[in-house]
Amino acid sequence: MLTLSAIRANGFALVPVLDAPTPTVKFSGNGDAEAIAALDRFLKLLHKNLLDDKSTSVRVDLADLYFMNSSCLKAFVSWIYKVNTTGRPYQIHLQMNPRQPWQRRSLEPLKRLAPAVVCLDDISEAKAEAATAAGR
Amino acid sequence: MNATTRELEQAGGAKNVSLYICLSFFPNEYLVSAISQLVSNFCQIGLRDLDISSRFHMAAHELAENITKYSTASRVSLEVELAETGGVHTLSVRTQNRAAPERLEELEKRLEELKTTKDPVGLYDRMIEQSAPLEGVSGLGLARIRAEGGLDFDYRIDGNEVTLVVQSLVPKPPPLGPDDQRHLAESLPRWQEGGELRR
Repeated sequence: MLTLSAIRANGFALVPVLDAPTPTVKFSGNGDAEAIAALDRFLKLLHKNLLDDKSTSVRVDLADLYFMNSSCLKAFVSWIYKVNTTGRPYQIHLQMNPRQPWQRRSLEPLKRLAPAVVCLDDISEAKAEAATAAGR
Repeated sequence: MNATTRELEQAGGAKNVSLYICLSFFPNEYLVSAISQLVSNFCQIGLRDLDISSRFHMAAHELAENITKYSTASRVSLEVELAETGGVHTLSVRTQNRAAPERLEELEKRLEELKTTKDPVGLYDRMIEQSAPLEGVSGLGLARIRAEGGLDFDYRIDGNEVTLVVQSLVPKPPPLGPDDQRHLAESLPRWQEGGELRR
């Protein structure tokens, strides 16, 4: 189980889902310049937490994430690189919202960087609809 | 910040500009999300195409961040234009800023590579691989525009003045109604509430 605290910056949030069967982190809001430092720090702590817990996978729920700038993407690049070059102790499942067309375009390069580590999954249509409704 | 929207009809002219916005502002990272959201609204109102809007939202965000980070002057500008020439419709974003003289040589090398590459996706993937072990600035923003956005890219360096242009051919825009103009105008005050992204 993840023992991380949630982080809420201005218009951006990272929330560990404590009761999920697989370690899960929920992203929401806008990943812009204000989110970078918090995201970078959180991903380093998450990596350590997953190693300590001997987890074999983690889910990253992006249903409510509306944008991520290149610096936030770079934080993912560094995290994935670290996992890929230190024995691939766990897989990273990036769960995309098909109603946010930027997500697949932005995340496919991460899959190409480490295909054995990164899995891209679409969330269900019902969940996508709920996320869209919440963002209106 | 100064924002203007205008609908131009140039009967008989070579270029018909149907929508145009020019933002001139003090470089400030807190404005970047608000600016890219305005560009996204502009595209959505002008074209009603979520895919194109999201590509230009990303491009505007990266370009606005770029000029905010690297400008050496107290004023930068970002323009968005939807235009038609000879039946061909284009959407473009143009930025202007002054850059530090010692950065210009390296900058021009990078911009030329981005402009002329025949394989923007391959270039972006290589840049990601190279940046992966490094801490700090990503340096991926402009490459992302070409690879991920699938957008054309051009630049000009005149003295210390750097102009970047990102554009794409787009479908013929649907006719603009009075409600569209009103929606765009109404989106402006929301910037001052922190620029939180709303869809």
